[in-house]
Amino acid sequence: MKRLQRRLLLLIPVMLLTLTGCWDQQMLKENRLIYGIGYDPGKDNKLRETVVIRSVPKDPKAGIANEIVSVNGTTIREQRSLLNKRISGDFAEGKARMILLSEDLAKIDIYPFLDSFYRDPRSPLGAKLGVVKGSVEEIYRIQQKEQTLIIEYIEELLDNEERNGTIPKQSIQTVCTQLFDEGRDFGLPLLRYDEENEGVELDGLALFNKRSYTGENLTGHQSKMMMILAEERGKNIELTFKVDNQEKENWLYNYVSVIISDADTKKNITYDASAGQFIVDLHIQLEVQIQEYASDHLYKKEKADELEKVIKERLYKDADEVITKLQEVNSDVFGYGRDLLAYHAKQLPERELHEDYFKKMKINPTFQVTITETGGIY
Amino acid sequence: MFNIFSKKNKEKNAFKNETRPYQTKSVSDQTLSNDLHKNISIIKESFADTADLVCKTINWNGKSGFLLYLETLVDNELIENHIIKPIKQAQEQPIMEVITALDLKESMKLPDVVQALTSGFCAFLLPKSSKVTLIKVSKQNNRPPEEPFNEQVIRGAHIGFIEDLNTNINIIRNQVQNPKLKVEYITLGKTVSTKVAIMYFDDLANKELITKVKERLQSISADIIQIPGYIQEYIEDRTYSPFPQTLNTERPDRLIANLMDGRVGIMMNGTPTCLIAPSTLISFFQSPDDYNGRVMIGSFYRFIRVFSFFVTIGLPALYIAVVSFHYESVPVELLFAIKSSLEPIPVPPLLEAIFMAVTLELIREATIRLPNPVAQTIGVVGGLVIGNAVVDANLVSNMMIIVIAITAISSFIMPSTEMSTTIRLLSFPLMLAAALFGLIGIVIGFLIIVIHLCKLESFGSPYFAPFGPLRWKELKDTIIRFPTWMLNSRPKDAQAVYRTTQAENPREWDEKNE
Repeated sequence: MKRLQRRLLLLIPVMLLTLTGCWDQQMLKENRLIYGIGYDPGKDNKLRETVVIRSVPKDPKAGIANEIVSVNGTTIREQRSLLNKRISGDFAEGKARMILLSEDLAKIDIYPFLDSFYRDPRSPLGAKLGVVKGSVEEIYRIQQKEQTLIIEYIEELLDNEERNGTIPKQSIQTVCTQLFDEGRDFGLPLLRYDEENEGVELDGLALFNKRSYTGENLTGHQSKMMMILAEERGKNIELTFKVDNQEKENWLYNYVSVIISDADTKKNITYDASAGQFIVDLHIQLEVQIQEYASDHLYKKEKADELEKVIKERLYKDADEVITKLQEVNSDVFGYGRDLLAYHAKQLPERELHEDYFKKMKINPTFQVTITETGGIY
Repeated sequence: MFNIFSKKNKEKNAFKNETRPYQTKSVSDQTLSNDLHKNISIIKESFADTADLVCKTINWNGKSGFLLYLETLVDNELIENHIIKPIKQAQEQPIMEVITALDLKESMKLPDVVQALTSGFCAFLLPKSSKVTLIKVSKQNNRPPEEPFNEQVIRGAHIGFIEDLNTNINIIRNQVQNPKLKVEYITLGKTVSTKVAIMYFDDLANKELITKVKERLQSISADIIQIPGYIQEYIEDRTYSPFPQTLNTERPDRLIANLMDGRVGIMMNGTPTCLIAPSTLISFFQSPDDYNGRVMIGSFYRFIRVFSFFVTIGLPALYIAVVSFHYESVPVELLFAIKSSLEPIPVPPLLEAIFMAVTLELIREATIRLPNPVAQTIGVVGGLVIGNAVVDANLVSNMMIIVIAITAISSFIMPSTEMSTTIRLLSFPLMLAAALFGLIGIVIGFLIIVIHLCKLESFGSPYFAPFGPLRWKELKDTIIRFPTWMLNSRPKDAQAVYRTTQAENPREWDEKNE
């Protein structure tokens, strides 16, 4: 009896270690690291997936390189298995930096492309999302922009624009909640193949309604205005306004460039029962620094006051333009729907958000501008 | 179920109770007779007619006496000056007054005489007398008490224990100068007898602890107890634990500091190493340098040591886990660096790691045994040449070399060699766990280590204190070291009778700081 026990005691650990069936080991060495993924409409109603694989040379001095592989398939998972047949090593998307969608696909629905990412625990939730005007494959086939790999190049480009406040920070993870939120829409960066420089250009912000791309987009300047209105990013946004109409049309004296050093936004949503309309009053106080102003003479109070006034007018005009555009495509990037659901549910027809709630809202922005700094010279 | 290794209880006390002919106590317990020649022959017989037992005739007071001694054990000059000279000049005084040596006794028992002769006495036998005069004339070959090379410090006393027990106790006594420092001797070893000294501060060290130590020491019944490693294994609570449960030191200052905490020091003749019982895990991280340096510096290095403990145990395992299970958690640029170094390697990361770690142990082991100049060459050949060639031959990746090198260096930071080896050894099972189960394996491995540490006891006190039973107040001298004037109580684990070591505010002159 005792001998049996001893044998068991030795056997149990050995069995435990050797007989367990599932071993989720994933050797770094055997995996091909996918760096970027892109989807295009393919022939015969199929999808065309293009992946960028960062190839890691055995000799570290050999330099960096990409491998671009494209396949046609029906579902995302099917494409995975097709890809696996075309690359050496295992397909590993855990470190993907970027997922780009062709605008034609984005106009239908973007969720099916992301679905598999939300299900897999190893998926790259920090990867950036973008919409491409034209073909993603064309962009990925650039391979390298000078010494920079295409994916790193686009990522840095987007990172930079996020820092400048041109586009909101979005990744697969942050987009997820917004996809499912009925009271909020979002925008994704819109990229375009830049033939002149053989590179990629940020074309603005692609506006989404629910899960699909509306086909409309904000320009860079409008996108910045949207960021200010949305209270998402008030600081360090640089804006340029045309404030004068002197001499020639494009004369530099006509322009002022300011950087917003402080923004304070007050939002007030009221219900106008007579019109059956929600009214959003935005009161935005901005402190700006003058970055470039060739006309100069800001030491004069009148001149500065006048400039403040002109900037204010421009801001209002631009804001109004942005709001009109957003309402046209019914893209509630401000998330006012959430406010309505939370605080004004009683006034909502049938106590739920209708498809066109955002279109029907009235949004009145008012601005107040103070020039706080004018730089080293007056 | 778990007594796989226990022996059968047959013949349980056979060795303990029996005296075998080759053992020290095998000398027959008989009284010497009046017959001089018979006495000499009995003594010679007891020594198995060894060639270095000298029997010399000396005339005293008209009688011819015999001087017996082991010539290899005695100092000839002492015999000449303190025995032969006075005896030749002597008249009628009794022999005990004639001889000028300090250590001098008389005995009629054969075992006493034999015992004395083996410990450097010489015996003077007279005709028609059963009394033997025993005079201590032993010669000692002592090296100077130099700083132990395995426990060097930058500041502080540069003195270390040597092989002679008396000198060692002398060093301690000289520094302590307290009558309450108690030394107790026990002679252990049935064939090779070794004098073991138990040292503690009477009325400070816990009585129970002292009894426990003495009891364990006295129960040892073996032919030989030559090195402290033997004692350690005889008296330790858990021999199969990888963690040493008695602190080994060759530094008097370390011993004194521990005695002041109410611990017991166990020293033995023939080795400079002193055992301290009970010990806690954290005492293996403490070095006299910590207290000599400034508070910030001492704390910083203490922290580095604790940190390196985790690095040594966990870094190779973490690396293995990351490259074989969780590479998503690594920043992308670092990941490509790792991947490109891994690309040409034909073996899995676990084998790489074990191969490099074993190579490192080989180099370490080789350099210890070899004479110093050769050891340096081996270090260069082993470290640089093998390291370089192994990477060039694509056997081990660059990253793994870095990982193992950092691991090795951090293990050598430990002030105690035992702990340094222990933690390097512990990294192997963790590597295995990481290769099998990834980070979960590491977590489980660490859990097992912590559970073991919590369970471990050293002479009845918790080994993992003050973390094990968490005592906030005693954390003052653990991961970081507080200023000396704040360390005003002894650690509780040794259960000292008095707990405070200094006044509430030892910096009384500093009124503002009160």
